[in-house]
Parts: sequence; structure tokens; C-alpha cells
Amino acid sequence: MGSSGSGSFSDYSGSTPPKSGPGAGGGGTSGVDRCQQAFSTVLEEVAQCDYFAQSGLVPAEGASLTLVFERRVFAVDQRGIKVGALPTAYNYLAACLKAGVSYAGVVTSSALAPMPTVEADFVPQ
Amino acid sequence: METRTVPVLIAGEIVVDFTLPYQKAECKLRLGGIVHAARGLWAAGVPYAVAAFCPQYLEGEARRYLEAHGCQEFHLLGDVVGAPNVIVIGDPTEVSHQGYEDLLRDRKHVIPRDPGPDLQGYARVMVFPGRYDIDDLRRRCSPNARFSIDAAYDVDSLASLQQFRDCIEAVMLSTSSHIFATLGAGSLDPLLAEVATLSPEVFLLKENRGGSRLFDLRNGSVEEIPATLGKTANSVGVGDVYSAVMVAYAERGWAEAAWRGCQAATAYAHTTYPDDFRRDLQRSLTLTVEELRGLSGTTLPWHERQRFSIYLAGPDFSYVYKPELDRAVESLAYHNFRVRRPVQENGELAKPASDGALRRTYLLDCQLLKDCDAIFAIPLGRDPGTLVEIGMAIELRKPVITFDPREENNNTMVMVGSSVYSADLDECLNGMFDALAKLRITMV
Repeated sequence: MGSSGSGSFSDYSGSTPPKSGPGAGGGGTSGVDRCQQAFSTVLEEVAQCDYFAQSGLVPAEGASLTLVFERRVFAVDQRGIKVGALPTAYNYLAACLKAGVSYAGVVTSSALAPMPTVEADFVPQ
Repeated sequence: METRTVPVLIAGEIVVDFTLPYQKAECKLRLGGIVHAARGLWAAGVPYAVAAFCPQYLEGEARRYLEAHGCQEFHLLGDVVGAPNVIVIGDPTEVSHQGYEDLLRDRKHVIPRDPGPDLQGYARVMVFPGRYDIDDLRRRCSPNARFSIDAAYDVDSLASLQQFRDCIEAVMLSTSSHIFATLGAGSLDPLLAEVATLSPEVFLLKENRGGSRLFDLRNGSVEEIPATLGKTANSVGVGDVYSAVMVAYAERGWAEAAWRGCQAATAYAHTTYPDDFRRDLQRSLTLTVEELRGLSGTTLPWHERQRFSIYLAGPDFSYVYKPELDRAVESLAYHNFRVRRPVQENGELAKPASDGALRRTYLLDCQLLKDCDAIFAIPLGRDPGTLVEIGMAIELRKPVITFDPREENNNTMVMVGSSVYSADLDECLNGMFDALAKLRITMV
């Protein structure tokens, strides 16, 4: 017949959708929790943060980081010194951190010139 | 939340939203209309009831769905006849006009139930106007009921709401509404004056990716509530969720209420899965308003967008096939950005062009680029001019947003030199909002 269809409303809380075929993509949950997802980002305001302000340096590649919520979400080194702020697109992490999720990060690249730059990967613990 | 015993009543139409397959997403079938607001209240943990108009074929389905999502009572106000009340949605991300198609809308009308339901027990009513008689709705409610009205759709003028004058708490509008286009698009003053005739306590203006503003008409204060821009899963009904959750939190004061509404709207835009939405919102609501203010986000009011000029770098020539460029321009115009198009402003050169004409155009384009605040680049095909313009803008330290839909320019200099580089217009649009919002802060 050449027709198919969205057979029914499938976005009920608690419902489980078929894995494929009609109705796939529905259901109550995607099974994905943003708080539990790893991500990579380039940090903001590195030049204004304590780490650079105090030392004139940026953490080396491979250095460990973690996240804290102190007005904004910041990446800090193992001593708790702020390295950079996360872009506001990651504001949802404030609620994740408040809910007790913690994140382990590692600097994947950094540079002092022409401007202090830090890129890092973060994984929920 | 669970702080109130009397549920909020949501009144309006129930429709079926059908989102067409879009980019990599499959089609999506959902109950819409006031069901969006209902999902918001359910996710926020707020007791609510529904007073609805809907087609008969949908009544049982709607009752079942709402009952499964926290609705305490379902009141049927009347039947929608002549049309299926199905909205077909072309663009669920609102990159530009969403392309809503209300099937058979000219044949649609409502037949109120007689006798109608008794709505006297509700103290707070959130009204989403439709093709029904809102005078009749008011008469069915308690004389002491307080109303909030989201006038985004099916309201031609605010004068038609005058019967609510003595009992209205809040008026909500979005910048994509007919009323805003008519009264507020050029200047906010006529719109605010018109809203004031209704004597609400507050007026909420939802400004899409530019955030929202809450005008407290009792004391003249304005609360700016920034947007948190991320990947939009589906923007349909997001404004309804905002309004409903805001009203539900009104007892905590309108400023907090608006922040809570915004949180709900943000969570709703990021997923179409109800349990994901509820989990994300519940987690988000643990943040205090002070914490939310500190987190900040993107604030770029509608009327301030025209202060910034955006240089359009791309093969904007009449002889080039460029649907992606045209769509981007449409999108930027939809969001009230001031786009400067050098090819249109300085002319399209003849082929071959004289040296003098080439030089003149080059100088004019360079000057225009220098005069602009940001660059939206769309390199398509073999177009070295766009790449040169990107380089000039980078050197001038202007924000460059590069939309590369055909992924032909994923080059180090282009990608890293741009503030945002993406093949996704949604992401590039967010980048432009973000870049200009940052410029706005430096100009304040």
C-alpha cells in the first residue's frame, strides 16, 4: 500500500518503546541521562581565572581536573584552583553537581600563546 | 513542589502535534495544545486539572494520557468539529518560521457542551485561547478566580481580553505571536501600553533564544531571564510549559515563578521523552533563584538585536544555487537580526567585470565588513571570497559564525578561527545569539 503510520501516542511515562519499526523513538525515556554523559569542551575565561592569574601558566596536557559549582560551573585543578569556566551551554551541570554527580577531567590540550587556552575531557564518576 | 491543595486549571484546546521527519530525527506524534502545559506541571510536581475543547475522537485518548500524567480532573468544555485538530510541524527547532499547518483550520469550529462543566472550585486558571469563547469560560469559573492568559495564538488583539480586566494576574506573549508582530515588533511601548489596559500584575515576554523579560506592572521593575542555549530537540509547546509552570509558582512571587517557568521550558526543549523531562526538571529545580542568576546565560532582547550589524559572507549571487544561504538569511531575519548583504547592497558584478568595478566593489565590501559587528559566513562551493572575508573578520577580532552545511571547509583556520563552526544551522544560530549577547554586555 505504500503507507505506514504513527500508530498511537507512545510518549507515556514509564512506557517502553519497540527497539525498531513503528513506535521506535517513543516511550517514556531515551535511556540517556545528560548528567551521566562524558563531554569535551574548551574552557572560557582562562586568563581571568585564578590558575593563570596566580602562575601565569595553564595546566599541562594530561593534568587532572574536576568540576565545581561556585556561582558558575568551573574546572578546577587538584588543589581546587579555578582553571576556567564552562560555557553556559553546560549550565545543566550545576544541577548534576548539586545532585551529587562528580566529574573527573583531563586536559587534552593547552596553550599560553597567543592566548591562554585549555581544552579538557570530563567523565562522570 | 506540592505546596498547594487546589490544582491549577489549564484551559484550552487539545490538538495532535505531528512533526514531520526532520534532518536525522524521525516523525513525532504527540498530544499537543494544552497537553504541553500539562506535561510541564506534571514534571514540576504541581497538581493540576484540565478544561478542554477537543474533537470527540480524541477525548478518550486525551483523558487516558492526562490521567497517566498527574491530571486530577478532566473537564470537557466542548467538541471541536469540522477539523481533526491536527497541527503538522515542519521545523521543530524554530530556526525560523516553524511552518505550522493547522489542517482544515477554516472549517474548524467548536460546539460547547450544554450544560457545561462546573469550574467554580478553581482559584487559579491558566488560559490558552483558541477558537472558543473565552467569555463563556470566565463565566463558568468562580468570580474570585485569578486568570493568566498566554496570548500567543488565536488572539487578534488584547482588547478582546478586556472582560478579564479585574481578574487577570499575568499576560504572556512570545515574539513569534501575531500580537507582538502587530504591536511590539518595532517598539515595546505600544505593546506595554496595551497590556497595561488589562491591569495584570505582570507581563512576560518570551524572546526565544534571546531569553525572556518579566515586566512587573505594579512597580515598573524588569527581570531579565537568560536563555540557556543548547541543542533543541523540539521547541513545540515550550512556551506553553513556561507559562503554565510560571503560574503554578506564582505564590512564591512572580520573579521566582518566571525563573521556574524558564527552567521547565529549557528542559522541555531538550527532550521529547516525558520521564527524561521530569528527571531533568526535578533536578534543575533544586537550584535556588540566586544560583540561577549567577549561572547567567544568553540575554539578547528582541529590540536590541537591531543594534548589531551582521555581515553576510557567502556566494549570495543570483546565479548560484544556495538554498542553505537563503534559509540562513530567513532564519536571521525571523529572529530580528540586522543582516547586511554585501552582494545586494553593493551590487552583483557583471562577468567579466572591469578593473574599476572590481576595485570599487572590493573596497565597498571591505568597508561594510569593518562596519559590522559580527560575521555570519556560509561558504558554499568554490567561493574563495567568503574565505577571505572570514580571515579578515578574524584579524579584525570580530565574532565569526561559520555555517558550512556542505562540510566543504572543515579546515583548521576556518574551524578554529570561527567562534562557532558547524553544519547545523540551529547551532550556528545559537552561536550568533551568544556572540551578540556577549557584545551587548561589553556595550552596557
